[in-house]
Amino acid sequence: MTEVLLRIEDLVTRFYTELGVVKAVDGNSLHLGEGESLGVVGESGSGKTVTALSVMRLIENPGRIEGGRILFRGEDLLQKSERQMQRIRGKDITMVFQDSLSSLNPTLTIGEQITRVLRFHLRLSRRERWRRAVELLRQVGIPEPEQRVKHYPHQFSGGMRQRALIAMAISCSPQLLILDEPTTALDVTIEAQIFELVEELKRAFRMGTFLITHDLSVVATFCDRVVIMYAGKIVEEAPVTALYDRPLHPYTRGLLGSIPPLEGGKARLDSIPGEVPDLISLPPGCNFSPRCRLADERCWREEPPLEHPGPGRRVACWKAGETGG
Amino acid sequence: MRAYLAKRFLFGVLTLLVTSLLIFSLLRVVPGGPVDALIGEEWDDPELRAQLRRDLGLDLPFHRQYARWLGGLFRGDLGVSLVLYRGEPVGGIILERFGVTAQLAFISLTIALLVAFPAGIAAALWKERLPDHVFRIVALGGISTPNFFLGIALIVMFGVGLRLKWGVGGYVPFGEDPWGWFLRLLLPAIVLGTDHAATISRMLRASILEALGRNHVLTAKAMGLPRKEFLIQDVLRTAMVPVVTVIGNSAGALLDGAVITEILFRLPGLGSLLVQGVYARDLPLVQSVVIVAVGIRIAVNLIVDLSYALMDPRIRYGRGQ
Repeated sequence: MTEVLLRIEDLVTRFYTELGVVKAVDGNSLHLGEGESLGVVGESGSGKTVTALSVMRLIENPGRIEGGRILFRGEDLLQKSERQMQRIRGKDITMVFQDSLSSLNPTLTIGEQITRVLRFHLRLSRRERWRRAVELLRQVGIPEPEQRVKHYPHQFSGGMRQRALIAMAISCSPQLLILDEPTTALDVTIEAQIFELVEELKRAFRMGTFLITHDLSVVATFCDRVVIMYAGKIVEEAPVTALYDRPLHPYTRGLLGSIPPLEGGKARLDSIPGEVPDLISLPPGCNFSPRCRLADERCWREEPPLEHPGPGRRVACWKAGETGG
Repeated sequence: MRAYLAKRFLFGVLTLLVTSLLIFSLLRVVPGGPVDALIGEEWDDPELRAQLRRDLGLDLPFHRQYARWLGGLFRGDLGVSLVLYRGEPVGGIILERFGVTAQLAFISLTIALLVAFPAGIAAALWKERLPDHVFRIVALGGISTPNFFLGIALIVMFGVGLRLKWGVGGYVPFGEDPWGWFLRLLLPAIVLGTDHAATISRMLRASILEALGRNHVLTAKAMGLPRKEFLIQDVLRTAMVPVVTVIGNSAGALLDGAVITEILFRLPGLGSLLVQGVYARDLPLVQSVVIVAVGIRIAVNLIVDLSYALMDPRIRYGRGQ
């Protein structure tokens, strides 16, 4: 049994917009062990990124974390001061965002951007910081790191920039690395390389990874466990193999149905009809019911509780496991 | 880079040529000229008029006159003042007057920047809160108050009301009395600086707000960088390009000479020289002042464009598109 690194309990994060209150994360709980990989899957607006930003305590106006606890190595991050959080961010918990070009400062060299992170978190001399920056670039597979460290982001290719961002994120050997759709802007071949790299680093540092994606096929190769989110709520959680063998929630089945099979199979992919509901005015009952083929009276009226149908599994559905011929 | 500079230089010369032709033609179309100014319109002595026109080269056909002036410009000879400073070379006069304008512009821009930066930054960081509202109203006032009004108001307050010696304008060279020099330039510098301060601070506010929303600011926060670090390196640094454009425009406008303010405060700068030249119908003087002002503007614009590369490494001149 591994130690629990991160435990989120009943997290509620809301945004108070002019149009109304957006329930971006609505009472979710999840946990992540040391060195474990958790995939968080859902469509845009399902609350994946807001969950991650809540862990980082980077929710900004008009957003507010309104309830719950975020325990990192047993300590509640929601009780920390901004100063304490500054020491945790970048050092113990870091986050890599999806668009590597806009995520790097265009006016500083890659080396300057890595060394300034080192400057704030570690006691190293200037020379040691630069040596370490070169070493980090080498570690993430950037060729000729001695030269590359002096280059600006726009002189890097997309894949190289994402590697550089990862180098920055792991520069202080964090225990938790949050990846927010890190490969969306990249080619599939580059995507595979990036995940190989993260896998390697994860093993080398026993780093827990929190991978946000909308792509279940990425999760299959990279994660140990998956959490499926829909409209701000966790609807299903399972170990990766179990999820693929027997998805319980109709939404999960819909997501899996939209992945093309490797050989033969159907000519047409399944799609989930309709779209993600408006988070300001959610439907009564189950959030997914308006799009669900199996939904009946009860689904439209009552919200299904998150239940434990098996070891390591959770699902919130009145019709869990039914395929509905 | 060299190719870019050559191209910009060529365009600059072309612009100067076109404006020189424009100014020259306009001044010839206007009735009355140096001859009238020198002997008076009432003195009806055709003999003397013709003599004078010949002496001043005004009897030559249009294109020959223009060619003479242009040829002089290329040799660095801006001509000779006919009326205002009879016989003195215009180049020397302009240089002397430009010195005063440049000093005024320097103090004015310094004041504008000292006000605009804190105001713009505060307005952006406390968006839609008290500092933002206060600076918005002040800036609007600064932009909409005409310079002549603000100038007169300041003279009435400091010169007439408080009876301060420096409150009524005039000019003292820096070498003679540095403090008096500063005080006398202070009020006109404030008059000229207000709308520049307002424009720069508004631009800075907008630019900072845009930069705050950029992804690399979020990355900087996610790496645990303290507020001061990412505000300077990630927000201000990347917000500077449009702001510098506005500052450059202000510098160009200030260096061209300020007609009304210089006259109000009795400053012997480029702006007041232009007006005096026009009243005196001193054609060579006027056309050369204007062409010098245009040249200054072109030079300032080029410097601003080149400075972008210092702020944003993605901007490189001359290589590719």
